[in-house]
Order: sequence, then C-alpha cells, then structure tokens
Amino acid sequence: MSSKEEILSKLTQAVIDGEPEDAAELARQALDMGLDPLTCINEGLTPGIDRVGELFATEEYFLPDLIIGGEAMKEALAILEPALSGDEERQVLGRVVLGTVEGDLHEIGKTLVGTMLTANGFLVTDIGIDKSAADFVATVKKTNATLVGASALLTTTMPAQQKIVEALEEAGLRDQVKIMVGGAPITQSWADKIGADGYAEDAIGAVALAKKLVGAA
Amino acid sequence: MVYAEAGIPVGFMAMPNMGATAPAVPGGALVVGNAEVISAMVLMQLVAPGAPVFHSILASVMDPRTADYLVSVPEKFLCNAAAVQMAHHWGVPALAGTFGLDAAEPATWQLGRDSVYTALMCALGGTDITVGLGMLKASTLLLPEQIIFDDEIYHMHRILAEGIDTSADGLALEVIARVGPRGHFLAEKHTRRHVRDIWIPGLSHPRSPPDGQPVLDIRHRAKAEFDRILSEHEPQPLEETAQAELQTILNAAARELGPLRTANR
Repeated sequence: MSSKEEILSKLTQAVIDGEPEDAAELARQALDMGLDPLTCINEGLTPGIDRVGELFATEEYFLPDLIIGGEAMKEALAILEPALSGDEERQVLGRVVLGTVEGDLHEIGKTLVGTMLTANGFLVTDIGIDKSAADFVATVKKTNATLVGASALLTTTMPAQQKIVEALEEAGLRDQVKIMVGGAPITQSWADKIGADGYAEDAIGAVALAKKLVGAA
Repeated sequence: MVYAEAGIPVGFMAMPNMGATAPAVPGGALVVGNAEVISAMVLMQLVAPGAPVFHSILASVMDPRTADYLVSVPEKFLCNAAAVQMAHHWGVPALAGTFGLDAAEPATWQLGRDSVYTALMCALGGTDITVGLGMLKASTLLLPEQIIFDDEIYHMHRILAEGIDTSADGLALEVIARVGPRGHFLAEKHTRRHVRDIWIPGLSHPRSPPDGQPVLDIRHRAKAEFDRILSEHEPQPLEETAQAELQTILNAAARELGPLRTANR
C-alpha cells in the first residue's frame, strides 16, 4: 500500500511524463485511500504541470509534451474535482469560456490555447466550434466566467467576434469578463476596433495576455 | 458537386500539417492527405461519373515550440514532390503547392533556395499545375514584385523540366561538322536561328541603363516591371456572345433572387 507521499509524487510524475491513464488511476487510488482531493490537486497535479511549464519554457518540452501533460492533468481532475466538498474549490487564476465563433470550424489553435491556459492554472470551459454569441453568453453565465476567448480563422467569420462583444454588453456581462480574440486574420487593431480587451498572436502569447488581464502577471 | 455535375474540373487540396492535423512524419502526412483527396474524388465520381478531377497535397509542419505553420522545411518539400507522383499513380492531374514559402521579405536567398526544393522538384516530378506565385509568409502575403520573381523562377524550372533537345538539330551535328575543330559558331545560320531561344532571365541579368546610370536594386526592378505590366497590359475581353450569355444569366438571377447585394462587413 503506497503512502500518501508516494501517491502524490506519482501523480506529479504522471503529469510530467504525460500519462493520462496512469494519472486517472492514481487519482482513483488516492480517493480510495481516503486522501483529500484538494491536496491531491494542489500537491500532486499542480507541481507536475508547473514542471511541465518550466520544461516548455526552456525548450526541453515541446507542444505535444505540453498537451499530453495537460491531458494527464485533465483526466486526474475529472476524478478529483467531483469529490471536492461543497466549499472547496481549486484555486484558479480565472474561469475561461473558450470557443471558435459562429460559421468557423477551425479548432486546433483554440484547443492549444485551452490546454496552455489549463496548464497555467486557469479553469477552461471549451464550448467547441461554430458557436453563436448566445452560446458564449450562456456559458459565461453558467460558469461565472471572468475571461472569454474567441477564435476566428477566416476573414469572413471575424465579424462574429464583434457580435460576441456586443452580446456580452447587451446581457450586462461586459464588466464581468475580459475578452481575448485570436486567429490568423486577427490583429491588435481589429481587437481595439471591436472593443476586445486583448489580442495575442499565438497560444503562448494568449497565456501571458490572460494572466495580465486577470492581474496575475 | 455542382461544378462536377457541370463538367468543370474539381480538385481538393489536402493540407496535412505534420504534428497537428497529420502525424509528425512525412509518410503519415501523405497517407492522411491522400485519403482525404481520394475520398473527395470518389464522392465527385459518385455524384457525376466521369467528372474531371485533380489531386493536390500541400503539406506543412507545425513548429513544435510555437505551433507556427511552416512550409519551408525539408519534410514538407518531400511530401509535395511525392504527392505529384501519387496523383499520377491515380491517373489524375496534379496541382502542386509550389510557391508561397515562409520568408516574409521578397528577393531573399532563402526564397530562391527553397523554390528549387518545391517548384523544381515538383516540376521535375511532372506536375501539371503550379500555384502560389507571388505569395510569401506561408501564403498569407501577396507581393507584386514577388510575382515577377516567381515568374522568372517558374520559367527557369519549366525550361529545366523540358530537358534537352536531342534531335539532329538539337545536337547540331551538321554545323559542328562544318565548323570543324578550330572554327567558331558566331556566323553560322544555325546559331542565328537558335540564339534567341536561349532565355536569359531579365531580373538576374539586367541590361545596363543608358547614360551610365547604375543598375537599380533587383526588388525595384521587379516592382517596376509589375507596374509596367499593370499600366500597359490590355486584357482580351470575352467574346461578345459570351458576354451576352453572362448578362442573360445575371438578369435571370436578379429576377429569381432579387437584386445583387454586396457582402456586408
């Protein structure tokens, strides 16, 4: 029978090694042992994903390593978070609603941003592709989000980003969230024009921007 | 499908991105890309048997550090060239992704270098169609002067792909025999007949301007040539009957669908 320290350090390693199945199994074992799920997150998963971030910053780890590490963390969180008691909550830097705008089916960039934000301590609700402004607004309400990320890869779907800003204003939610926009045709001047709070050129920039917008940078 | 039914050639360009939308190996990118294109071609045949189709794979690499979209790396060059061979294996024309490379500035040595790996390899592989002339930064920029550069590169490759004429006239056996071992060919009729066939690229071999002016930078000259073409070229209009037919179609559309609207922005 493994000790608490052993399980926690194995959880950390499963994230660093990018082993989602092992991470989920270890999470289950930890709960069976009666370990506190919040401890498992804060002292098991978080050090793992922090280390993954360090290795990525020094270019020893590349994006696939980052994504698989994020997957391992997600699988373990799926086991641990439901077990959190009512008043416990994982410390997050922000709650993000992320999606690709209406009429647009591109998702890889958005998914990358989601993984990197998760790996950097944000709680991300990825609503998927081809989502209307109403979908964004509804999810912001449901998750009590503090950040919105809208992705558009086509010049023809860019205007939908403006619709999201307007819909959030109409719903009285504009002050609650910071809005980030991204995608190949997007520029800082477009972001300024539609009243978004920020633009980043790639996933790495998105994390820095998100941290800045929530005041954590 | 509409075009296929109308008998207009239809092609699909797969764009497998190694590490993201395709496995991180050139072979895997070709498997995925080919499956996409062939399945689309089959669909066209189901909808319109005998529809003319063409095949195209334009591969790329995802930079594993930044997720950037890269096209000037050897793995991509391999894929694009191999795709031409695959297209011909299937018995359909190939459209090769040949220009539109990574550099952000025109007239760089890297563009010249990389055009050999893409355009030339595809040309020697026998591609039927080449695209992307004038595009830079992974086809996100279209620069006027780059069109002129790529045009020059294209003609260079076309001539390379055409190979050497080994006919009697091409081997020049008769005139060689006549001139003999110590003569020269300057005054020969054969020379006069063929010397204008040798194409000397204008950008790389500029004429000295009159009055001893210095030769301008290659980028300026390319832009000047672009401007000259724009100002002097007279496009051939469509035949009157074709113009009339188009107007008939437009009028019918206006009656059926209401007045034409421009896109909202």
